[in-house]
Amino acid sequence: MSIRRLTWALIVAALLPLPGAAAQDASALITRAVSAYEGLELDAAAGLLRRALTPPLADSLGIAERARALSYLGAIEVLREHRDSAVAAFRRLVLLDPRYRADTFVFPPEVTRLFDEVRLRTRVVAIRVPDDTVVPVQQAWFNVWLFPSAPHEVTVAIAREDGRPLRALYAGPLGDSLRVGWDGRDSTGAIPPRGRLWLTVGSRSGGATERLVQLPLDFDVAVDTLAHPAALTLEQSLPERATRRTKVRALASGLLIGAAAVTLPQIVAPGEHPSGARLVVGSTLAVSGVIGFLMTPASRPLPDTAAATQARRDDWQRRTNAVIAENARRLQRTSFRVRTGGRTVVIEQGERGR
Amino acid sequence: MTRALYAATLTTLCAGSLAAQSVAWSAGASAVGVRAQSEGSRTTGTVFGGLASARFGRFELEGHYLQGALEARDLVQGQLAVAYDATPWLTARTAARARAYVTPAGTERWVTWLLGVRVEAPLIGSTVRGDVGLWRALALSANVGSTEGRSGRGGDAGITWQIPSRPLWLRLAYGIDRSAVSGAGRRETLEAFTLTVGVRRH
Repeated sequence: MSIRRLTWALIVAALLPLPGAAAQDASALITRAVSAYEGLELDAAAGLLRRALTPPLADSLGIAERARALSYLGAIEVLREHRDSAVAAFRRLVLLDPRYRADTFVFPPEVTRLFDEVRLRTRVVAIRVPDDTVVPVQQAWFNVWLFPSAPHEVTVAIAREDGRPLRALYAGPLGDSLRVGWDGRDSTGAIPPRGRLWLTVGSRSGGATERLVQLPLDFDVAVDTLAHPAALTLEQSLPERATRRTKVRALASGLLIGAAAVTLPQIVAPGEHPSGARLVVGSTLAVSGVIGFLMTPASRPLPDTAAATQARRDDWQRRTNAVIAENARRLQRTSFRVRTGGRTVVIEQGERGR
Repeated sequence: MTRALYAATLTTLCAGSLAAQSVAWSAGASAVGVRAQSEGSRTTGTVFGGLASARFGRFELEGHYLQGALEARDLVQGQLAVAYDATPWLTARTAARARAYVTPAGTERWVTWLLGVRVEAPLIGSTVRGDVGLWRALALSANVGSTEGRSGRGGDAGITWQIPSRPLWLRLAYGIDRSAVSGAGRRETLEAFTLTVGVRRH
């Protein structure tokens, strides 16, 4: 390798960002800003914090560090008498971490007072769920903990990936904290298919939803249930009342079967001299057909066929009940798994539909 | 071998049906007026017997037994049949039937494997039903001295009254069949006029 190529390689290596360098830079900026704040170098401190909170450096910060930076930025803006900027910083802080409370040992009363004002006005909820949990169906719940920025009315629901509601879990006041359980079923009691769901918490004020917090959930369940028996078709039901066609069919059947009885010897054993018994049976059949024609009024109930149809219905119901019972047994042995699918998303009411 | 395969198939079908369906039982007692015609001779008599059947969904397993005297000879007959309801009005049926004519000189045995169809229709409501069936012999054997030219066929027609709200049923039927072994110069025609009283249990 020539000297020239080695030189270029060293230059390129020096310019490449080291892993974690951005996080270290952002954290270092915050530390320097806090020192500047404590030395009352407020303009310098504000500049450092704004740099740290601006992407791409801000992307490397965790929630706690970002909250710390925003709290100092808000305090600096209060001390610089930039109230609107302070309110904006504190509002970002409340939305980032609704459970954050300003430290009265660190910040002066005018800072903590303004922060509390902003916190009470900015109604939002922090959601805490297990990162990855397996819940036995019918035996336990998927637990969701909710922590508000300030007491207010909330609605809690599970929605499908496309936003359609799946199950409403809670609607009412939320004070200090609240635990809400989900049994893994939709509003009809069925287990939804595996896929992406949204845990949605709506913060309400004055009867309207002010803000939504959504947490993506990956729902997974393996239920091997049996299909229900096919419903009985019209063709499977016998006529329950006699019709004119029924009468004619009875007459034709009696005459034809009677004639067949009389002619059986000619068909089976031609040349023999048959007995008169065939005439007795044949005439009985024919007369029965005539009686059936004459005595069966149209629309007369046919209890036997109705009973046969009812027996088929009962059999279908029995098989369906057996499938329902078996599916319930299988469900008792089933578990569903819920994993958080990413960070929470805060949607202001005016932002919905964008 | 073919018969064994056929029987195994029927047994399998019946077993599958038995597992899936509830069983309906029926049994009855019969009085049968018989007229048997052989070459140049005719004998008559009344024989008695019974039947029992079990229905598994569309399948029915049925056994018959008859015994009695026809003047100079006795008639003994047993039959085991399997029926399948292809439609509510059409039934396919196969049966193995053994018939013996017992005389002081010896016993003449006719064993027949039958295959046939039966058509059934309601006549008065659904309590009185008429039916007619025809069959042919798939195989026939007889100890009459020859195996040449064996054939058999038959048919029967009847009317059955299921007494409403009772498990009892009555049946009046006429049947005729002819079995022949032309190599031995034998032809047997038997007519039966049957009255049966039975009970049915679902």
